[in-house]
Order: sequence, then C-alpha cells, then structure tokens
Amino acid sequence: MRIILLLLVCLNIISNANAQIKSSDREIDGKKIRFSTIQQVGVIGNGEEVHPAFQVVFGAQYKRYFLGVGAAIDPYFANSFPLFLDGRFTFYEKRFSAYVYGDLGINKMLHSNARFPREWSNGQPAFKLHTGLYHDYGIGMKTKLAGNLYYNFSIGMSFKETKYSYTNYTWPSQQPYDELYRNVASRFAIRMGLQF
Amino acid sequence: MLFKLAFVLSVNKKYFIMKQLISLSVSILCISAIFTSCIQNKTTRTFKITRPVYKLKQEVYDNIQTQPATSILSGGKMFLKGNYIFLTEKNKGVHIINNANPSSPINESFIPIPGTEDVVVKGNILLADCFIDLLSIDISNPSNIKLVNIAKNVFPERNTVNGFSIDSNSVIVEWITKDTTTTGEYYTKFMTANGVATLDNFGSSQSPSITGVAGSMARFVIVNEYLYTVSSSTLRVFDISNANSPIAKSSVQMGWNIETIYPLKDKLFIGSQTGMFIYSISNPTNPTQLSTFLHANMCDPVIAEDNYAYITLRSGTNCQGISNQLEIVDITNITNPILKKTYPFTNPHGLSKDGKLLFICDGVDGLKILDATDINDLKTIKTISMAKTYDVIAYNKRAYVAAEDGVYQYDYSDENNIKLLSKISTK
Repeated sequence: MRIILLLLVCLNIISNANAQIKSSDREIDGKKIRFSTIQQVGVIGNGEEVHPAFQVVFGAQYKRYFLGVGAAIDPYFANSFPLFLDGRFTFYEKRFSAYVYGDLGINKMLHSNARFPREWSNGQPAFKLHTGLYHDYGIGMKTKLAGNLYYNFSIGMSFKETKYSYTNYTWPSQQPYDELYRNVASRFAIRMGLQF
Repeated sequence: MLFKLAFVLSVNKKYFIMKQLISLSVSILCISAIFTSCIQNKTTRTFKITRPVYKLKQEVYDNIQTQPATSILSGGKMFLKGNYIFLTEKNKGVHIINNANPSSPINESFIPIPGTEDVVVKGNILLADCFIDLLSIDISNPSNIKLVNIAKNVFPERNTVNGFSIDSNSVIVEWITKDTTTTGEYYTKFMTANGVATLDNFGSSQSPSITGVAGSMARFVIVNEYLYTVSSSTLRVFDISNANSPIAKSSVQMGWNIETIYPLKDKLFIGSQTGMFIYSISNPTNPTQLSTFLHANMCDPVIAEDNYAYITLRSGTNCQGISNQLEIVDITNITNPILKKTYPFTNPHGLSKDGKLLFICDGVDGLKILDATDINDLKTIKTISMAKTYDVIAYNKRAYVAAEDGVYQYDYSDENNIKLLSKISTK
C-alpha cells in the first residue's frame, strides 16, 4: 500500500511538472494537446459498505476530449488496485461546465487483505486472487479556478469485479479443484478533486 | 465608478458560481444517500457438487465377486497376506495384487465393495466394512471369492456419509460430481475456517500374526481371535474365532476424532487428533484404558514396540495442526507415557519399523529411512524422493510404500543398498 501511494505521489509530481511547462504541449495539425492529470478523492458505496476512495488519472486533454490512464485505491469489499483507461467529454468549454466520463480496466486484488490470506495459519494454501473487471461511468461538473487548474465534482456508478478461489476437494475421490467466487460490486461513486 | 461596478459584479458572479456549486453538490449527495441502499452486489460461486447414487444392498452383495483387475485410481491402505497385497481403494473395493514375484507384481483382480475403508484377513477370510455392515469374504481361491457372511449394522455411525443417509436396504455405490454455479446477494463474509476436506491418511507398521500385516493408520486390527475396529468415536470388539461369522462382543466410547489403532501384545494404541490412548486387552472383550498421552490437535498415526511409541504429527486441512514432527514416547511405564524426543519433518504421514530401521512417509519429501538404534539421535540413512507418500509397511526386509502415483516395493535387506524392486502405477 505504501509503495502504491509513493508511486502515485511520484507520478503526480512528474505530471505537475509537465503541466506547468507550456512548451511541453504538442501540436497536431495546429491544435494543442495538453498533458493533464486528474486527482480525486471521494466515497464509494452502497447499502452494504461505504468507503473512501482515491483516484489519479494521467492523460491528455485535446479541446473538449480527455483520454488518460488511471489508477485507484479501492477498499470496497476487499482492498484492490483498479487500473483503467479514462475518457471524458466536456460539453462546453466555459468556466463552469458539465462533463461525462467513463473508465474501463482491470481490478487487481491484494493479498494484504486479511479476508483473503495467501495461507491459512497451518501453512496450507488459502486463496488465489484473480484479476477482475473494473468500469465506472458518470457525470460531473468542472469549474475553472485559474489557468489550467479545474475543480471537478462527479457522481456515477462504479462496478468492481472481485475474483478469488481456494482449493477444495471433491468427495469422495478427494481430487483438488479451485472453488471460484466472483463478486460484482455495484456502488455509487462520488468524487471531487483537481485537474491540472 | 465603472471599475467599482465591474469589481462588485465580478465578486457577485464568483459568489453565485460557488453557491450553485455547493447547492448542486448537496443535492447530489442527498440523492445518492436515498438511492444507495437500492444498489446491491452479486456473488457467483462455482464449485463441484456431489450427489450419491444408491443401489439396493442385495444387488450390491450379489455383485461381490472376483472381477477383472481394474486400474488403481488412488493408493490406499494396504494389507499383506502371504503372496498377496490387498490394496483398498476407499469406498470402491479391494485390489488383489499377486506379489509372488516382488519384482513384477501383478494386479490380478478386484473385489467391488462400496463404502469400504479398511480390510483385514484372517486365514482365508477377508473382513471388510461396507458402510454399516461387516462382510466376511472367503478368498481361499482369490479368482473365485465368495461372500459368506454379512454382520449387519455393526457400524451404525457410518449411516451418514457426507450428509447423506444410508438406510438398512441401500448403499451408496457411486458419487456423481458436476460443476455448479450459484448466484447470491452480497457476500461480505467468507469462512476462514479451514473446512476443506483432505486427502486420506495412510500409514503402516507391522502387526505380527498369521493374519497378515496392516498399517499404523489402520482402523481394523486382529489380535488372536478378535477383531478390533475404531470409528471416529467408538472402539468395537468382534469375536472372529469363526471369521465366517463375526460376533459383535462389546464397544467402548472414546470421544471424538479417533483415527487409528495399533496392537502390541496385549495392548492397543489408539491414535486420535488430540493424543494417544493406551488400552489393555488382557481381557480381550473388555478393553480398559491404561493411560493417555496428549498432544496438540493434529493428525497422528502411532506405532509401538518394546519401550517406545512413535507418533507422527502433521499439519493439514482437517487436522488443523501446524507442526510436522515425529514424537518418541517412552512407554516403559505404560500407565505414564512420557515424551522422550521430538524430531522435525516436512509433513509426516504413515510410519513403520523393522528392527533398528524406522520408515517414515514424509509427504512430498518421499520416504525417509532412519537408523533408530539410539532414539535420542536418529540418523537418516536414505531419503527416497517420490510422489507424495502416505503409507509404508516394512516387513521381512521389504518396504511397501503407497504413494500418490502408485505402490512401490523396496528391498532393504542391505541397508546400505536399498533398492527399488517394483512399482504398480495408479491411473
């Protein structure tokens, strides 16, 4: 977890440095593509659980379109690390505007979950963690604060697939096999943050 | 004036935007809170479900005849008698292996016995359990065996198998397994109990008598004219002076998680997950507890000879233990067994002893052969790597090893040159 946070901070610093240097903007056909980063905190949850969440996206803004790659820390149900592509469309380029976003990627579970240990206390193998699907959609509004600095607020639906298995045995042949669980969590996602 | 007006409008505009922003945020938060509980998660579980196939008992018993040899699907408990190895395939039956030539044993025939877990042989009679019944099978002619007697309902605790009942008229002959997926609502809690079924435990040591040789983790043993059996909770005594017609004599409730039984002279050493119980059978039909040696909750086969008992303890799913070791217990004073020495192993299962040589099936590490001349200083003579080992019988300079991939025979007449004689592979 600490390594992930450190990585996110480092990437944030790098992106921040890029955002400040206008000369790093590239031009294609005379149009500017601007590197941009979005960092958001918020809550995700439903009637069962509610958790804080943190998300960071690095990408490029071209006119009203944004495309980037993001990562999040998602403790809902079990600690996991979604990695995704993020796409956004802003309806109009004004100081106060609305946008829609969509994320699509994978959900990586972490063995640090107490609920899913790698081994039982007697040393026998316990859980195997598998990669699941992650997707998130919603609407938001962004307010220009200064220059390329925006405040974002969004609400949407977030879906996280958690897949894990453990070794069970058939009866009576005692043949081992993986008993597989797949949990698809549907929850509200409310986020706010900065884009620059 | 104009500048002043522009400034006021600018401030008001910012104030207006912030107010709109906050108002919208609060509205969205409220709406979210209202509808949050309507969203639910879904969990699917994919697992194998097993269902029994029943048959009428009479039909099953009519089918207990010598059948052509079948592939050995899984190695199990072994019983040696004369030139034959009787290899139990749990819940299926008994493979009869002609071992007249140990270098080239022949899987000769198969006796189908649903629900069998243990067999012993007295004279020409093979005694096997079939769920709640005890069968006497005449094997004087192994190619033409005959079911001669059924002692009914002598193992009543076996009337439930994996949650399914067995009545007096039917037995489970097969299990059908298929993949199943179920879908449920939100599933946050996952059982952390290690309730996963385990592979069977096997082990062996010498049980000296003309009745043959069984193992340290057997549940059936013969002492003179009596058959002693243990279930998970009960010790039973059968008079088999006439093995064609065993007579139930008595039973002793022993608590829970009883696993194995091993005879030594007029004593029985009972292995359980919590310890070793020593019973006197000086009065054969009235076993009397002499002492108890307790250990942590672990699976443990036990053998004994002279002044020492040897117990292997291992970790495993149903055993719940976390240690893997050999314990040597001083039983010089049979009423007060004392732990003498402990040796660490990888995952020890069955064991056997012949003279100074101690054979231990150490799970995936294979077979370990030790010099036990000095119990305070066991020395490893040889480690034979093989598939996961469960059971060993060391008898008459030959070690019979049941492993995951077959049954091995080793010649240890020269302990410095222990050599493989043969292997019967599982399918």
